[in-house]
Amino acid sequence: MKTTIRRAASSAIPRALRERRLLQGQQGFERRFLPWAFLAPLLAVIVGVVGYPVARTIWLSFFDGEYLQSGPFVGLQNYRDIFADPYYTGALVRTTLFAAAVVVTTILLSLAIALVLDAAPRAARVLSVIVLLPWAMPRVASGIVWKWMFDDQYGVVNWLLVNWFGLDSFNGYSWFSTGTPAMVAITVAVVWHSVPFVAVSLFAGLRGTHGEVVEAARVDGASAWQILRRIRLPMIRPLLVVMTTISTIWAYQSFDHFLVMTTPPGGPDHSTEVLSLLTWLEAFAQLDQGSAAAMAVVLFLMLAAVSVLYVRLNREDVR
Amino acid sequence: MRARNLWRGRVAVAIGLAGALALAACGGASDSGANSSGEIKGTIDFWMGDPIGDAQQPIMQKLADDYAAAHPGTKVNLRFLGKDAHQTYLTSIAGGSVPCVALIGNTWTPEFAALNALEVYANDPKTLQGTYVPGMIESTIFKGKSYAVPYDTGVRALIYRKDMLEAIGKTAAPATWQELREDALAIQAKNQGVNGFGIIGGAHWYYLPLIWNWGGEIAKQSGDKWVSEAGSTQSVQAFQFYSDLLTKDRLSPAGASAWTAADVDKSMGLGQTAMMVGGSWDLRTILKQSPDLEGKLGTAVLPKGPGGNNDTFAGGSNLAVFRECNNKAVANDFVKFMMTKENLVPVTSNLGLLPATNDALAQEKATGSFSAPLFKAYAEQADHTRSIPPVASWGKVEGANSIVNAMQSIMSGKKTADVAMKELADQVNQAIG
Repeated sequence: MKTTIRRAASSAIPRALRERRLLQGQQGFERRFLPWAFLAPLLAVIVGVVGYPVARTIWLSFFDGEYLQSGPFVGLQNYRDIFADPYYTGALVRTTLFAAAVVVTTILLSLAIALVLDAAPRAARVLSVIVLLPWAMPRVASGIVWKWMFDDQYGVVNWLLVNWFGLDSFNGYSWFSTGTPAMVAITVAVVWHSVPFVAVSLFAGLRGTHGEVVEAARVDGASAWQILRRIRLPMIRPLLVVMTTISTIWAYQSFDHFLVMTTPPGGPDHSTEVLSLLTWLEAFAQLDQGSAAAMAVVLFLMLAAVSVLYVRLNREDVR
Repeated sequence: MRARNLWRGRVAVAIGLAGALALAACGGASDSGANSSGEIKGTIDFWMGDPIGDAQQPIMQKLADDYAAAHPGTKVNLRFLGKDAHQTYLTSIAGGSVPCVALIGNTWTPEFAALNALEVYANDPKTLQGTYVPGMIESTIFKGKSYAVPYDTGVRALIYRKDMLEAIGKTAAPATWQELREDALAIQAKNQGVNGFGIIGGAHWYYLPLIWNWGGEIAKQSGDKWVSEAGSTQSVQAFQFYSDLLTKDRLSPAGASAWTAADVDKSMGLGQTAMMVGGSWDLRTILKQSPDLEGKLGTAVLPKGPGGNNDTFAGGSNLAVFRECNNKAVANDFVKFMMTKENLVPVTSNLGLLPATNDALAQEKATGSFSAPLFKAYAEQADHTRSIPPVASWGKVEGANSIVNAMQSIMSGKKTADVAMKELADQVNQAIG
């Protein structure tokens, strides 16, 4: 009885409608699955080169490691070990302070350069190429050059400080025999390397703020400073957020400069050891890839947190 | 190249780590010339790092080609590993994809032997005496067996300015460390702007041997284990002495606590340093940089310490055959070929290192590159060498720079020598225990 009714009902649906539904189903399939089919090859590559190493590193961090081979499962012991290690916690604090110094200096300097470029749009065409040059230099090479420039005996930095600024105490001043001055020298080198990209990006952002709003403010009698602070900087805020985030990540990852500028790497006496360097030493000098993986995971989580923060801030901006 | 995105940002370290592991996992016997018949036929892989740069590449390539030419049907695939050689070896051992023959740093030999990667060369190392320089045999031994053939050795000696020493009324190089200190102070007082002695705080090979000179040991064997002696009175006094040369006597600028040999070479070349401990390779660098110094420089064996010896570290390389080599007939034959005087001396002369066989060393001393007056001291010093403790995990001690960090903490005054050396002993024991 029931079946007859249903059959009758189904036959009651007009043929055109049924065809449309069929078509919609097909479209639904296409909409739902086809994009994935096209994305699949790329996703496979991403999973292979990003997902696998990350998963593998997390996995390794739960094992004892010796000579690049996995030992027994140790649970969270590697994490407990590294946080109990004063050299690691020292590096954690040092890296954070270093990152803060690098980011603040980079953003302020870059903004200053961007404003100068923006004020002279014609010269900027040539100038921005010159500004970008340090960025094109390999970091290891720039690290070596900076090390020479900070050399206590023959370096140009000490020479300038003594002869131009009259700071006689810098005569033969040794930048790399204690921690703090060494960190200052490395900060200078890293900032020099990070500024170009940020400056040119901010310059591009500032170029887009010359519209009616600024014109209107000017007509209303706003000063250049007011226009910059109240109008132009808020307009490029999303860009500033991105640049700050990227600079933070770069700073936390700094490795090359530390490796080539200090003797031994991270020295003297551990005073310039940063997280990336310590991870590398743990993996390839101590050959304990379990602890190294744990260090990498912690750094990964910290940088992931920075990235989440960036996404959040950006979303609020859109609103 | 710098188009970094956030993903890359997050995982760079992870990729670095995992990349090495992936590499290790891709292993597998790679030698194509598998040969177990004992016939001299087939292909072998021969790897080497380049501790002194790429100058040695052409001459090594020629030897590999010569061998193949002399033994039809064989081929030697030569691969230069560059500065990351140690890591490359470890990765390939972990992945089971090793070369047949390799020229490895002598301090790596016990480490690789402990990983069960090397073929035993001599069950009784005593049989090697007479053929090889004694200090170099030591470096091939692990748990009583020899795992490699000593190939070349580099020793350090005293390089000094004859003219400056003469100006303070001395005709001979200082014979003891105390005398060196006094001479350096006198030279410094007489020559403004000259460092009396080039201190090299950034590389432990320049002061670790002082422990021997003071009558101590770097580590002692106790049963099956090695125990660090860094905390001993002799070790503490030796490190204190070296640190005092910088901090009390100011024989080098403050920055010398982080100096490497290259810094002192430069300073010496510029006429700003009067004496240094340096290898024959340092001497060559200085002379190349400042040829006019040739008549002014002198060399001598190292000064003795209160312990009555002037022993120094025998650096150098060993030729090893890997256990997983599948053409040991050619591998062993090739090693023999490399070790003949005719094939060894051209290489060592070219590198400025001493050959590790006695017959080749005699030739170098008599007519070779070490017969020149300025280089004689190195050949003499070769008789006064020792090896670092033959412990598998010594590489960790070096890799972690524990010794350099200890010296720098004494130099900076952050720790007393007593505390720093006790801590060093703990660290070393943790690494080698």
